[in-house]
Amino acid sequence: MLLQQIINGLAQGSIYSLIGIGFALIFGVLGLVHFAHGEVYMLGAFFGYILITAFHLDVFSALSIAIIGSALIGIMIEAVAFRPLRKAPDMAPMVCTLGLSIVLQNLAMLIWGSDTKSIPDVLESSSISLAGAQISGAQIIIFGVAIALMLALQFILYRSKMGRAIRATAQNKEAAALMGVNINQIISATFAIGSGLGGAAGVLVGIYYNAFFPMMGFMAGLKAFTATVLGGLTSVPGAMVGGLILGVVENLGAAYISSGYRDLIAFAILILVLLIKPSGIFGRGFQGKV
Amino acid sequence: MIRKLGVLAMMLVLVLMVLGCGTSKTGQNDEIILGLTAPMSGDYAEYGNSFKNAAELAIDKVNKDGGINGKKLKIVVSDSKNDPKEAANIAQKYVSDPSIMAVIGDFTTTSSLAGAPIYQKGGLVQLSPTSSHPDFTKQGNYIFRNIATQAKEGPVVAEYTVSDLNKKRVAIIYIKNDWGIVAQENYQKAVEKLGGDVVAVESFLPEQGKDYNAIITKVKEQQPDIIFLGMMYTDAALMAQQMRKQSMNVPLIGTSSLFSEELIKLGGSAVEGLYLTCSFYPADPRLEVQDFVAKYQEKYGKSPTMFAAQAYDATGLIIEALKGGATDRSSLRDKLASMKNYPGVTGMTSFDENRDVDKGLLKLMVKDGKYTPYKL
Amino acid sequence: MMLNKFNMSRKLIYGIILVAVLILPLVINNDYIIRIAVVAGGYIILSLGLNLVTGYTGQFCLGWAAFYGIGAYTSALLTLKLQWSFWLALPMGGIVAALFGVLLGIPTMRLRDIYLAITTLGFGEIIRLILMNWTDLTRGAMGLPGIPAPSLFGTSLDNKYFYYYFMVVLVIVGIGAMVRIIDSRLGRALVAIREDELAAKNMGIDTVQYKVIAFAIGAFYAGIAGSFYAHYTTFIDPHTFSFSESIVILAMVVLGGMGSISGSVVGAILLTLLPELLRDMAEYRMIVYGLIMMIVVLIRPQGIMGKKNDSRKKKSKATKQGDVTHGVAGG
Repeated sequence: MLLQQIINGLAQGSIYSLIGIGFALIFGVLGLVHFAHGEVYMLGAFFGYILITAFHLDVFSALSIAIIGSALIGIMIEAVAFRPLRKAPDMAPMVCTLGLSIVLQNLAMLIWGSDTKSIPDVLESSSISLAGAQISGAQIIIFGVAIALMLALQFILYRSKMGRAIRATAQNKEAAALMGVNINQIISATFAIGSGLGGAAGVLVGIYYNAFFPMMGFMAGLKAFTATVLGGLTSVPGAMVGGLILGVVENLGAAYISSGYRDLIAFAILILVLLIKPSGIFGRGFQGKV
Repeated sequence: MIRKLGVLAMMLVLVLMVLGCGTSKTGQNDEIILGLTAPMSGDYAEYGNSFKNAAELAIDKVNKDGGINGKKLKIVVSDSKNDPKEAANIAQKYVSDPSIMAVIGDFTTTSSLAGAPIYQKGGLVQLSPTSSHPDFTKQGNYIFRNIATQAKEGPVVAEYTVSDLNKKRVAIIYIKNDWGIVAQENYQKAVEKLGGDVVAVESFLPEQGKDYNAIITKVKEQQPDIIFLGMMYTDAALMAQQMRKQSMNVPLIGTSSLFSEELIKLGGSAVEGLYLTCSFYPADPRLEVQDFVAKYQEKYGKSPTMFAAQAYDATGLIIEALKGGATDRSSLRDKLASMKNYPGVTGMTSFDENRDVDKGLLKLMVKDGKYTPYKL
Repeated sequence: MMLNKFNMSRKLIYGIILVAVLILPLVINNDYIIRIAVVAGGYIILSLGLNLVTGYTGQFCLGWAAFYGIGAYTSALLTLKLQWSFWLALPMGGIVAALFGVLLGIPTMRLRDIYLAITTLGFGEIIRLILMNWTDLTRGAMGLPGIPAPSLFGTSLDNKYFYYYFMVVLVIVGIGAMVRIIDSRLGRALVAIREDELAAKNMGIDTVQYKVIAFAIGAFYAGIAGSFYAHYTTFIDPHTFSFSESIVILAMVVLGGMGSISGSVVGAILLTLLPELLRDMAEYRMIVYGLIMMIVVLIRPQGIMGKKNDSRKKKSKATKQGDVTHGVAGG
């Protein structure tokens, strides 16, 4: 059972990772928490749902288009909820995105109804056996796509001009501006990438669990948040590792302690990390202390 | 100076808001108003919406036939968001609005319990179509429900499990909300009484997300003959799917909370062969059931769930009380309490001295993607 | 001379408000309005407490509903299981909540900004999950029904006038105490901590002690509000004290204006009345609620009664920005 639970955890964790990376990216560049990120994930999932059921696209095309759609939404969110509040007190954009998440959740409910939707088996139901445990085809695909997207992100960040600009902006906005970086553009780009990843996670989750519903962003957002913190709020690879660790620990906790306390375990980890090493596994040292 | 004006303006706005709150009297003299309190947004929105749909259907029917004594029926809907605070505020609002004759709702027992003391004190009937918590009707003689409690349903499902299907090693997975806890307790007790062996009991919280793999893996270890799913149909369908993905093909059984076309739509082949009890069965040849199912399908494009059927009957019961000559809140309560043998779509309904009901329960199963009665 | 005039008209305004509040239930015979007023009062107290911690001391707290819940459950269990009198259970709810405030404050004193916010979020969720899972004590999801109404010398006080006027008293005392606190040495120390913690420390202010005190006092307020709520509604369950609730209270403080007592009052009343007014809009209600939250923040980010020019903003940004790439090379 142990191996199976670990596999369950890795599959679930890779989803947390994908969402968490979006958080980390945005936080790294803006220093602010994006409370509506879970809803971007949810919208991405619904894009995927519509593309597959109404337009009969295959999974990978739907995924790609959904990523683009989510990226666009991310850009809009930045323009509406973050940019006007650049000079405002820190809590302001947070409250704004909180309001936004309420609006998006309920808008989704209005448009699609609150009942859970599903797609007749899209991913293969085959599975392979490994030392007594089952790894389903779906789990492999999820894990694989997640890794692929994350590698793609690393590539962008390190091998492209835009990536360099993003990193520069994250380090020091003013200096980057002085060096000729178009800050507004870069911030938009960051949101686009982060949101695109979130949307991708949404589509994958929707297909994996075969459940699409407007409230799906809420808990997922919180958990992804935890994953990001675990890995180090500003570190992208940290978010990935944090997500996987969180997924595994949660599943092991549910298995060996109690399934009802599963979320509690996740949050307990969150707090422990913050108290012991607030910068997370990969984050910079100075950030949590006075 | 500006600041002072600002404060004054703010005060004025607030005063207007306060006054605006209470002054909406919802009815005119030639209307009879009923209140509905249910979750219209949030996690349970789909159930709240099914209440609304069903209630409106029942009212349309009566209005088409000319209403009651020439007066048209109208329903006011309030969103309790499955939040007891909201439910309490709504209760007070309805009680304070003299044009509201009775209230249908709420969906969960926690919301219903929050409103109950207010309804009782205010002398307004609250009839819940789905609250099955044992404490509910104890709150007072204005508090009613038309669903069989789990204390009555549990033993039937247990009998189905142990006696009919001959399964002795039983695993229970339930949702840890007020409904699920009561369902699990009653089922487990009944199973053990019949000599069954409960080998695993697992639970999950409603907001936990839809990944049940950890629970499934755990239950698999115990090798049960059958698994009881104490949850709503959406979660059950997902859980069944995840079980099949983990190559666990043990039969599944549950209560009427599973009954819905959505279960089959979402669950697909994973729920084939699932067993359940239900007080509502769309293929029931009785005229009122066929009429209800057809009209619901026509108006809303989907087949009614057990929840919708319950709400439909709840509305129907109140309408019956009104037809029987109830003229105000108190006489409505009396007429309702003495109601016997109302031909509801969920079966013959009579209220006992605790304002609970005894419902006949059918044993069904999913066969070839359809619900069919279980044959021994 | 101008100052005097200003103070006089200020006092007049407050006087009018006070009179209006006192005669409300006698003039308006609508139980629903009275109930909303009582509920709003509870939120005023909650907002005042959070405002002390977040607005005045600058400690972001996203788990406020936890203290609300702790106060409610403590008070409810004391009266239900141990047959305590309401008059003892109420303050006890506040005290236990304050203890938890200290419990939260001490280990988190080193954390700042977003890290503190997340920790408090986690704390809030943990408390809620404990309330849900520790069924032997709290009955979990089944909740605690039948919480006894307060009584005095044997007579039950279960009527709307009692609840309303008692809440009025609580609110007046709460506001009064808060004004005193802000105006005292403690209050000034808290503001100093908010503006520049390092400088405050160097000036000899024991930041740890003061932050913990702020949490304790704020939590006490929340606990009192919770105790009252438990006896007013006679039924509580863990669902009431969720993250969403924490967000609502936070929104009240932010929209009203952080670091402003009148702001907390205004914010609380506004966000209590708003969903009630929008009730007729059924499925659009929550959308409008969220939109209003956004619009108010966008138009007036410092809150309705807040002051512009928050010096915090510029300084904290510099320390918070991080390096997205850090960690790839393992460094």
